Amino acid sequence: MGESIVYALKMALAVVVFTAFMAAIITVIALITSASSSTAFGEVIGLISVYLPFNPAVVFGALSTMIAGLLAFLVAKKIYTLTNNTYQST
Amino acid sequence: MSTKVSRFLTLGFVFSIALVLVFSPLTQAIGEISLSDFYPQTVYFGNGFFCTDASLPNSVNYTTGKCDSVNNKYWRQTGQLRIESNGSTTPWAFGGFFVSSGARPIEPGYLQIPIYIINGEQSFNMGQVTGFMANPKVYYNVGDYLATVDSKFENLNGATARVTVTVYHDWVIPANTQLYFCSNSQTAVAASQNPYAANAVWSRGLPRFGVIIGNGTNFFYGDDDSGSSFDDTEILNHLYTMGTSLSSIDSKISSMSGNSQQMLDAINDLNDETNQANQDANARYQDEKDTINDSKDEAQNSADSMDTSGFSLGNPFASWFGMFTNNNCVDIPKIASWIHSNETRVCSPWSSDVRSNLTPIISVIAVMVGFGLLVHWLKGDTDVGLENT
Repeated sequence: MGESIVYALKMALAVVVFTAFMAAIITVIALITSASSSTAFGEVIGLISVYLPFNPAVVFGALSTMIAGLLAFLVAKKIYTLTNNTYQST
Repeated sequence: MSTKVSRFLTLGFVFSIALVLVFSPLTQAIGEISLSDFYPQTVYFGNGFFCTDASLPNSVNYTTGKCDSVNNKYWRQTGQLRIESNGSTTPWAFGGFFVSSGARPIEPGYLQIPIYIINGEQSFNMGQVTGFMANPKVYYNVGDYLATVDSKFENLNGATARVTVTVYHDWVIPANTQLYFCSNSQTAVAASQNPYAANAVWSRGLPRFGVIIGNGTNFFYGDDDSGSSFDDTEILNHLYTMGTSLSSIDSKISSMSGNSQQMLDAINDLNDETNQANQDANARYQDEKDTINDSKDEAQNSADSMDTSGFSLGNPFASWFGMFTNNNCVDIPKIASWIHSNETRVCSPWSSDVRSNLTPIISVIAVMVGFGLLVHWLKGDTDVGLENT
């Protein structure tokens, strides 16, 4: 019973850390985006967009989904490793 | 792995930059090439009578009529004179005088044209007189300038005629151009004469000029090569034709005048309805615009709140990659001001068909490559059970 409580606490801690980590990443990305979208850098991105022979919003959107999935997988694996090691150590 | 991912992303970004660097100058270079780079400059003469041959180089406006059927010379109401890129002129026909030779194009595509103002007269003694029109007038315009030239025939001794060409207005003439009179002579006149040498004498056949009747837009031309260009019957026939046309126009105007008030009332009613419709349309447009702006404000507020305090497990990079637009054109006011360009809007050199066809292909390839790298990386990770067996 005590092991389960400790395991649940570890899981909750991992979820909190994961949430804070992801929130920090999203905040940083959002800040960079909002700061650069109305600047010349945003115009450069726009130039790149129109000169590419494909729709970059779609292609890069797919890539971003893939990268997001990869990040989620890494975090999940980290939580899995952390909880597994915690359970085995007790 | 992080090194591999960053290397992959870096390569992709470098590839995108390379595409821009390669295609942007190429597209710009293609856009700057025009036909004027390959064809010589032209100077247009209008509303004048010119005698040219049928093989006028680069000519596009010559449909007036025949001048000399034997030699295939034609009167032109609107002529075109070509200036070669090397500065030489191409004669239209035999006979003529050279205006000036002081200028030469400095390079193909760019003409350096000094302006000469000629206000004088020049006489030509012709070697044969059998009949001609008295005081024929010739109108020329060069670019935006209009000049009036009178050409007067004088019967000297029954065997020769003197043609006096007088420019009454200050005539702005591009240098290096030639004006030609139509002649029925079989012998070509020397191509170049000094315009300031008064009373240059050419022993040539009878020149024939068109005559201007009325406002100068109606004219007729000689159609034989006998040396007698026009006779009274021919002139009267043309005048009768013109009078018939004018009478027809007058009758049409008269028939229209009876219904003028009714037409005006209808037009006024139509204008009132149009104005009312425009006002209604503007009101609807303003309402829709306000509604759209309200929706945009709400969406922006929602997006701002999500960007600052929200959290999404789905795609945290959506905002970053959302900077890439899916429009075919993009505004670049800052970059345009930096490079001192007036083009603040850049459009894609690719057609929408190309982009719409390539987008799914490249999307699939990109995702496949990405997941391929991911699987390749995970195969070396023993934690997830994808290790090599």
